[in-house]
Amino acid sequence: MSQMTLLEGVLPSWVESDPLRSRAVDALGLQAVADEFADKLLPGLSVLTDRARYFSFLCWAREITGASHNETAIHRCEVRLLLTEAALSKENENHKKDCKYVGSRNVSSWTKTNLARVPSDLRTAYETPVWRAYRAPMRELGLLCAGRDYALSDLGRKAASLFRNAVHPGGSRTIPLPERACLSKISAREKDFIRHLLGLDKRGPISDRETDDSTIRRARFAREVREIYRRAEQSLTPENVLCEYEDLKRELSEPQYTLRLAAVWEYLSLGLNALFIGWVRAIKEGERKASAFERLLKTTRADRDNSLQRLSLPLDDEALISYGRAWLKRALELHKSLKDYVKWPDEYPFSLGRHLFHAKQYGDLALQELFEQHQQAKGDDAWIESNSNGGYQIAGEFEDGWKLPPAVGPHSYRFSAFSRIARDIGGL
Amino acid sequence: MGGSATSGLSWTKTADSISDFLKRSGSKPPRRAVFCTYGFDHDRFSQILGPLLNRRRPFRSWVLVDSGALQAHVKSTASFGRLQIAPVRCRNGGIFHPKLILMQAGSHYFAGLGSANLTNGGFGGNLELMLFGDTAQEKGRALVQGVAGFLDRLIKSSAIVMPEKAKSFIRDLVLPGIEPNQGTVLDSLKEPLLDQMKKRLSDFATERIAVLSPWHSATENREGVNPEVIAKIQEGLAKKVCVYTEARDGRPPNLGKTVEVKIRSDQPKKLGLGQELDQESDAAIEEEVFQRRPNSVHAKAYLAVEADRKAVLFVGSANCTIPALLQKAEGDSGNVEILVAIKLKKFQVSKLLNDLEDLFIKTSEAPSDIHPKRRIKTEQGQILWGELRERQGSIVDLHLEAPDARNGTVVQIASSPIGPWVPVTIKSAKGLVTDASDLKRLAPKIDTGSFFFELVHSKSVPFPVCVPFHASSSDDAVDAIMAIVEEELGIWRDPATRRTEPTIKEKPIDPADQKIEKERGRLAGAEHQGRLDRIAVAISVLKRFILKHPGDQYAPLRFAAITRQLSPLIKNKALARWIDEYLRVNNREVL
Repeated sequence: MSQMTLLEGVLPSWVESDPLRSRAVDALGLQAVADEFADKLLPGLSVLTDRARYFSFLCWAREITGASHNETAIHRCEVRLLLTEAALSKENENHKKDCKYVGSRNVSSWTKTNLARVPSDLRTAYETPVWRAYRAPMRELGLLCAGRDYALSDLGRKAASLFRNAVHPGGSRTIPLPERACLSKISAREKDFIRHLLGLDKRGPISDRETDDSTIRRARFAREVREIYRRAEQSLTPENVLCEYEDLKRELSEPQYTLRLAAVWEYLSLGLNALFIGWVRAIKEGERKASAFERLLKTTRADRDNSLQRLSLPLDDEALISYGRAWLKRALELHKSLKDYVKWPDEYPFSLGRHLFHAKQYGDLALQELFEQHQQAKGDDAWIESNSNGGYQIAGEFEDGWKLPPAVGPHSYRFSAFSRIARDIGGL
Repeated sequence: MGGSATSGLSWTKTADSISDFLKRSGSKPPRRAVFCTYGFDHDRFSQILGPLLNRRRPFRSWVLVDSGALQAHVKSTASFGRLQIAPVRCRNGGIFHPKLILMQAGSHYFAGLGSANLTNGGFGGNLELMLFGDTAQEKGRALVQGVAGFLDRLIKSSAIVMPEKAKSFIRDLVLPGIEPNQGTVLDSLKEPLLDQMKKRLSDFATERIAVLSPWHSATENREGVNPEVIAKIQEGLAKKVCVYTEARDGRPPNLGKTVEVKIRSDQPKKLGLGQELDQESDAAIEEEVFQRRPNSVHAKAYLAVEADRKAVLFVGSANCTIPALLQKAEGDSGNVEILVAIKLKKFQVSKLLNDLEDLFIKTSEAPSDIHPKRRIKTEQGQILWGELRERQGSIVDLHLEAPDARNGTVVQIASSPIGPWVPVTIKSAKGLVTDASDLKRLAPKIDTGSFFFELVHSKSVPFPVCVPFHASSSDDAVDAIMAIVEEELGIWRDPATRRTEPTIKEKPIDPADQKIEKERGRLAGAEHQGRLDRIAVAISVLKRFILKHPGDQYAPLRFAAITRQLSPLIKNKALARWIDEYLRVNNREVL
């Protein structure tokens, strides 16, 4: 070995989750395709960007931290806002019910004295700054420049000034912001600005050739779902949006084409996830239970309500399998009927679904494929592993630690977040 | 990024670090990358790093991955384009466990080293530690050189089996531009890591050691738990040891009475008030993100602290286990592991300890016996790797590497796990399929690598079959020279049309693009000339481009590699001699 050297002046860093939302519950890797659809429908937004005023507020927070990027300083501004919101929630039940803000759960037990001053350790309010969830969408929307400093663009500076002029935040960094800063008290000018930023103020016809522009995509989506939004009392969910598109069997243009794909994908995801969760639960309960599950998979009828819905767990094995097979049946029927009209980003899960639905015919192969799909999706974090007897067991890391997810539900597609933003700025 | 001086270490996305490097280095060619990982999830890799590696001028990338782990996670339908996947086997039974990144963009280099595999967990699902640096800064340069030193030792090591083409890529293309430093990155190839750590700390008054590791070995003779590695650390480094690790069912591992053990906290400290998380999806997502805690500990670090709180930090891939720390790969059954040693100042020690105290808690639960993680069963099959070659739009042959197979062994291969099977005879550790009907039965695609299967005791065992970076890889000398020129200039051929990507119509803004367009113009000008003229123009373009690379060693090393590569292909001896002499004259007059 040659001369030994020590590095100096460097520090390792923790690896931040990428993408920000952990795939902890994405057991079969089906989220990636759903994300692809969501990117086509609502580019530049995320499931976490659900309050319009965070955009202008965070621009202001970035602006007052100066030229270089200082996440802690931005986090401090966020906590100042949190204290304001929390104090309003304490005084007013309606605010508590209607105004959603990050950190509400944590500070709900804080006393008035606690709420009067920014704590020295910001992580006692919440650990990860809201900034981290919003900065990528803010860049997509043109509020931030490229580069590691996340400098404000001209649009960003404009947003910052709109917030500043509406709120007059004051100088001290350790006290709550004025009540005017509340996310629900967004000013008319901020509303107009964000409406323009998202493309919701677009008037007149939109040409088919404009589909690559993300503002146009959002505008098209907003127009498409406007009626559903009204009918559903200003609330968009995968359940109330996608069911409108699943039965359309003809050439479609955007965003109807993608909405139809998403609907079919959700039936498939619900079916695969329900069966997988049931199977893992059976494996956890021992070999006998796992064998019983495999037998049930081959014999249980697909006779439950197969609509797109969120299913709360736990359910007994037979019910879970019945729901799972009913969803798979619907997905496979739709997949077959659309073969002349659509191209799927990933065909393999349909083949997996087919084998599971016909488990009587494909036997162990279907579960082997389900296991492989899970391993492929989770890598090191796989919940189950094969054992020396040719069966499966809970993986070492999860022995005694695996918890049944609370529900099986469709992917969110940013619909709920988008409709929340829309409510903030006066509707679609 | 983020964090005040006293808070803790920064949190960085791997993709952000690479993206920053790419922004700084522009689109300069050549663009080459080597990744080492134990587990490999191609979907997540292509989702997260794919856009960066393929933006503007794509990288020619190799992923070195543990052969056994790769076989265990392969999905039969997986295909991986022109990414080169190289399975690595340890001859003596250990696993290939380093996690590192080395990228070259022109004369700029970037390195990353730590605990993160190229998997979902490695991209941030787990608690992972990585050290990143690039040659724009002196500190980063030392890391890059250290990583190059390790790769240099790896390809020469007798304990390792890996595809020859991966070795030559590292030796002939990646390493020439860097002066490897053999002392910055420690590895377990020839000497156990713990012995090397002791040497590093020989003139350092270590008072206590903090160990961050998810896994701990018990001795094989398990008469009660005897954490042998911890005992060795206490014996060789410091008596006082604190271990930060993962719990099982809330119980810490039993590491003996002399060790303080802290386990990862499942809940944020401020949320441990008996509050149940809302089951509604949005609220659950919000909690998950804003109060996010990684799913499990995967980081590996050893912090040796002096009485005055100065410290040396070893960070890398090595768990606190026997095959990682106490054994070597050559002549023993140890893993291939790496660690980098960093000298820390007081405030840096505080940052790390602050985070550890925040992320881990002491528990009063009774400890549980250690059950070291079961290793994924070792790799099977004779074939390590394959490569498809095509000429004029159709596959001409399939090369196989089976380094440990006996001469004359017949293996059955197929492109699907259920056949149809094609017999291949292995000679001198190589197999070759040239028969058109056999190739048709295998039905490979020309433009994308995928997994093939070998029949082993009626079981299908996968191995990767890659397509070369250069779409046409015939034995013709002009083709070979063009492939080298295009690699150096960062030009890709479209595998379908075999054309290079179109020239930039408008005047390129980036000076690197301007230079390349100029050279491409010269190559295009020679296209309709005679064979010798084309060779002469290509070689002169190549020489001029390579000589522009700063540093004295890049050009001679590249020229030597090019001569080595071309000499068996050029039948005309006079021409071969001329090329050799032309490249040997290492002057910069041609500029």
